[in-house]
Amino acid sequence: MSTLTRRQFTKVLGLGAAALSVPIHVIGQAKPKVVVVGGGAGGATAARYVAMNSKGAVDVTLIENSKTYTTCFFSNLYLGGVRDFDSITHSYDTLASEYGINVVHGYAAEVDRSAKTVTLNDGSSINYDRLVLSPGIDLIFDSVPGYSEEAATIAPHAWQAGPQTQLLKEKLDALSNGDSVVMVAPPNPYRCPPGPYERVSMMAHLFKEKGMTDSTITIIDPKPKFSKQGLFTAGWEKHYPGMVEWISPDIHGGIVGVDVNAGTVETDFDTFEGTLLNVIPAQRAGAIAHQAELVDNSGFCQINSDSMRSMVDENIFVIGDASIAGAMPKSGFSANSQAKVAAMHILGDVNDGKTFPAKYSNTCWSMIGTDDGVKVGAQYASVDGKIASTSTFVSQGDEDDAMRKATFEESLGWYDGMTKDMFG
Amino acid sequence: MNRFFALVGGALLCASCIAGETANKLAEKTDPRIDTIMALQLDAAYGEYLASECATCHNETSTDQGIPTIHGQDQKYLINALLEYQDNKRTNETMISIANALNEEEIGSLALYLSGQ
Ligand SMILES: Cc1cc2nc3c(=O)[nH]c(=O)nc-3n(C[C@H](O)[C@H](O)[C@H](O)COP(=O)(O)OP(=O)(O)OC[C@H]3O[C@@H](n4cnc5c(N)ncnc54)[C@H](O)[C@@H]3O)c2cc1C
Ligand code: HEC
Repeated sequence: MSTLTRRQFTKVLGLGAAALSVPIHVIGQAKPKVVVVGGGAGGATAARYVAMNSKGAVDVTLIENSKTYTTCFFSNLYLGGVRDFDSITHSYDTLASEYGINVVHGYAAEVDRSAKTVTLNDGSSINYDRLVLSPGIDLIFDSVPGYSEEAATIAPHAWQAGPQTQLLKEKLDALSNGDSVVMVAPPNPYRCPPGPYERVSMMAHLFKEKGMTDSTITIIDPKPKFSKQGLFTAGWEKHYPGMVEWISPDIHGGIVGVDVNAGTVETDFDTFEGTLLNVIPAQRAGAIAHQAELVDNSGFCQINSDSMRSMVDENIFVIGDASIAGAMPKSGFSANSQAKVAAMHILGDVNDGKTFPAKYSNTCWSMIGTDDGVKVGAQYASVDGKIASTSTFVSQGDEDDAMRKATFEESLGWYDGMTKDMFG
Repeated sequence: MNRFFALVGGALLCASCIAGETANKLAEKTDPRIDTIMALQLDAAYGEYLASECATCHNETSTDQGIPTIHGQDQKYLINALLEYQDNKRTNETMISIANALNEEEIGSLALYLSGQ
């Protein structure tokens, strides 16, 4: 089995077999070192699978800036008053205690690819044999003129979960009947294609529960169409008639800018005013991927579709939102799935692990109302150097209430499974 | 909770799928492909890799919230269930899509691994 692994590895890297004739842990005498930057959907899963499947033979370090992880997934349910904040916030304790992962809380400032080290903000540095980057996204604040990190304290984006999500919730809860929300939706590519529209559904749900049916939510979208559009539009009509309006670029003519103090969004044709603005700007791979020079012109990282290995550096794997993963959307589910492929190849590289052809999977559920869930998903494989879908499905418009309720319940089971798969 | 309850000639089905059907009818329908798959050269290590994909939804300590437990289930039961998704005899679109992406060897290896958990 080790022959197979080394042969595949050699093929991917285009290196001579001689350089790889001895497993890394023998060369180094010490345990091979795997470092993971980012303890989110991709990174936590990768760290856990490498640690779990190597049974202590590999030294795993997880570098994560925050002490706890709040999931973006289900954060819209928190906004809608369906989940509480604690239920979407997770600790790294089990990864350290049960899996022996060295969890380091700090910000990874620099990757030195020739020395194979990661340096933290406090100046300390950590060596690696293999590095996983799963830093998620950075927001390009000025992609919406007038928006900035500072403006986000008035008009939250809440597209990275945590304090921003709590701020948006506070501001939503403070609104009264008749007040309005204007959302500026992001351009492609961005994390969670149905996310903005699920958020609007959950905001409307909150308003409806509080009897605020004179309140409205207006979406100013830079895109001419969006994920699960027919399902969302029908759902808004059914549950929140007259409360939600989606404005496409052929109606607004283009987003000119926002003034968060005035609460206005200016477009080519009109100015929209909201009591509360939720501005979701354009996105790119997290800063560390840029510092390490692993990104292309799109602002994201090209990967080998067989392994999630960076096309730029064979010792680095880029997974999750930061990667360009062909047909896969940027989702937590995708990141988790990619992490398992990367973990398998890392163990193939450093621990003589068996490798198999990559399979990837994704399902995105969205809550239109409580007990009204819809989903879209696909299975993927590496085809001609790209991640391509091999079978797909999407909820149908004519499903009955029982089916929609079952879909909603499925998503609860998934959240439970997914977060256990990440954090143990 | 264990959904492992209707055993007839190697075919075990969940409650939601057998509504209104008698045990005899089920016995008649036992899928011959199950034995074909059981006779293949199956690889538990491959099954383990494939099963990592399932763990995103089916975790081992499942609270059975909307998603049934598959770890530790009977091997033939698992094969049968996956074939039924492929044949659209079961209706869950997610599982149909997942099963459609699996060949016989993969189904067999998965069932071999999962049944041993
Ligand atoms: C509103 C909303 C709803 C969503 N709903 C769903 C859903 O229902 N289902 C779904 O599958 N997906 C959903 N998503 C998408 C999902 O959250 C992301 O796709 C997923 O989190 C991506 O995983 P990741 O590992 O790439 O990044 P993240 O999960 O963001 O993890 C990145 C981590 O890296 C850390 N980090 C970054 N840089 C550094 C550094 N230099 N040093 C140290 N730490 C660093 C960050 O603190 C963070 O914890 C949703 C997203 C949003 C915004
Ligand atoms: C996206 C979430 C998801 C993933 C991933 C997933 N499943 Fe499922 N699975 C479900 C749901 C939901 C059901 C219940 C469907 C139904 O009612 O028919 C189910 C049901 C099943 C059943 C029937 C169990 C029973 O007792 O009736 C089997 C077997 C099964 N899955 C196997 C698998 C295998 C094997 C994998 C991995 C290759 C997998 N599943 C991946 C969501 C998932």
